Amino acid sequence: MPRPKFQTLTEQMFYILLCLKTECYGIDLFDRIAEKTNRRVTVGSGTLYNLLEQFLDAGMIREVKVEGRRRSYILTDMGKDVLAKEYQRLLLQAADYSAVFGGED
Amino acid sequence: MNELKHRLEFFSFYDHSGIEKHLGEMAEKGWLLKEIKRVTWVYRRIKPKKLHFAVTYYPNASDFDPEPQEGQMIYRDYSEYAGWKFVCQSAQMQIFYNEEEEPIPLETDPVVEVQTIHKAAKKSFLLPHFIILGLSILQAALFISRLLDDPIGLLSSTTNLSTGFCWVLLFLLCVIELCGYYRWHNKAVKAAENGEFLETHSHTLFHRMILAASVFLLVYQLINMLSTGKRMMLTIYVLLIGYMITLIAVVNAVTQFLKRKKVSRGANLAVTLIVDFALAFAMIAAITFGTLRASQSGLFHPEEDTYEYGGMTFILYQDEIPLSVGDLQDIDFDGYIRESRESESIFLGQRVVHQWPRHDTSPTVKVPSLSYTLTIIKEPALYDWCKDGLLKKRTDKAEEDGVVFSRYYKEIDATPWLAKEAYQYHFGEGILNQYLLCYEDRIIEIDFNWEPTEEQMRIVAEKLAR
Repeated sequence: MPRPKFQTLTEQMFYILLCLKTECYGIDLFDRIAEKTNRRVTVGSGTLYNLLEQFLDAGMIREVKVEGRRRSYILTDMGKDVLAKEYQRLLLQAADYSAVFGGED
Repeated sequence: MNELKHRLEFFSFYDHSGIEKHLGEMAEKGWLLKEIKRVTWVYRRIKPKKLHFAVTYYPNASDFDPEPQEGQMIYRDYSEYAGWKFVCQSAQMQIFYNEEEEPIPLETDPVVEVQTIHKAAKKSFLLPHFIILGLSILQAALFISRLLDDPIGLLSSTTNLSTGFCWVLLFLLCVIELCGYYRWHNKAVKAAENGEFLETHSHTLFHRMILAASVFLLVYQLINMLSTGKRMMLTIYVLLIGYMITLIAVVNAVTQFLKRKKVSRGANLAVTLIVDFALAFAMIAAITFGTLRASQSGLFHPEEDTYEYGGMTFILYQDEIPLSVGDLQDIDFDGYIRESRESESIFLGQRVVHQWPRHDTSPTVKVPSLSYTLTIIKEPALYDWCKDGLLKKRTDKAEEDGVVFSRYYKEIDATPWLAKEAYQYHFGEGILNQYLLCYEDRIIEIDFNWEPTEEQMRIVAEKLAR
């Protein structure tokens, strides 16, 4: 059964939203994500375009500037909530891991 | 050396994996896709090299857009930034290539990819295929209904059989395309849940077979019409092929012209639809009216004389017929029309013959006339079905002066007809001189306007049953 939309975020969704804490042009997100993750996470251009459209439709980000085809975006309060929930979920996962393997390192 | 190459390609709308692989192979052979036209894909010559291709879908795009939408251009900007060069688009499908050895794919999230393809498919792939599937099922129902109602009429006509077969091909095409799509989509959704991409399967061989069967049908029909010398049918057939080609060419030209003039998508769609319907209606009306007039004026039978009666022109058919009134009795009358119409398929052959006096014959002149239908059954398994079909077709009720009469065939002694079985037509209490005669490989239905003698019955058998 398909998961409800944005209940959990994929790594690519997570980093796109994270990089939009401050205003950023869509096209600059490629570099910002690469920089933030030390090139560990890459987002395809088609995926980036479609996810930005989906985040806009869901009200998780908003457009700040429109300069011809260059558009900048920033996270909305709703987007921050979604990101925060995902962070909590990841923390819980990390805590569960620690509880199981914590003492082995 | 040609710098351009036109190819017929047989890919399903959603078959992005197949298209990407094929375009990569073409590039390695020195051909890069330049443009997708209505019928063919155009390639331009390049230095052979290894290129990566990506086929993506932009669901909001349309063939009627005067130019790419802003969103599409942003999409292309992102892709170009990532090293993907735009090749061309066809409606919602966009094709890119990348020269890097290991480029970052255009789609890195399988869930988003499947959602985008499905959104695009719902708009321009699934709906038209479901409509054609519905129409082909309706045609199949009509075909079966006619097969039960009039098996001889249907099975003896190559045109009817070919038309039915065309609908079968369309039905198969839709079933394969829709099943193929949903099969891929269901699996792709599950795979995407696990973060995996699922490649599509190509049905190019099946598409080629459908095209080959369609071309075979067209040629077979043409040869059949040329060999049977049916000038009118041949003319209509050629006109209909011309009609289809003209309609597609004109509608495409209108759409492209309006796109060049930067007319909006909605206006382009509306004008194209209006031109499509108006042209289709006008051309069908012209073909119908033209062939009717040509037929009435005897254009399709230049060797036959015509005569005028009641303000209309009639053709004085003098066809060769296997049994004439003169074979059955001495008659001194030269005002007969002898008309013979034949149709034939791989299952049945049918010949309908009339020998009637001309319409302008004085009503006071009483001359014998004769009509018969000769049905030759090539496939023995169809014999009983055809016979029962004929008996059933002639069994009905008719009302005359408020009285209801039953009409039906009743079995009679077949010996005088030298037949296996013989039936005579009854109208209420009355008996008509209309007979259904069953021989080894043929069924004859014959109608006299006099009561035939035993000698005449024997002549009928000798002339028609051999």
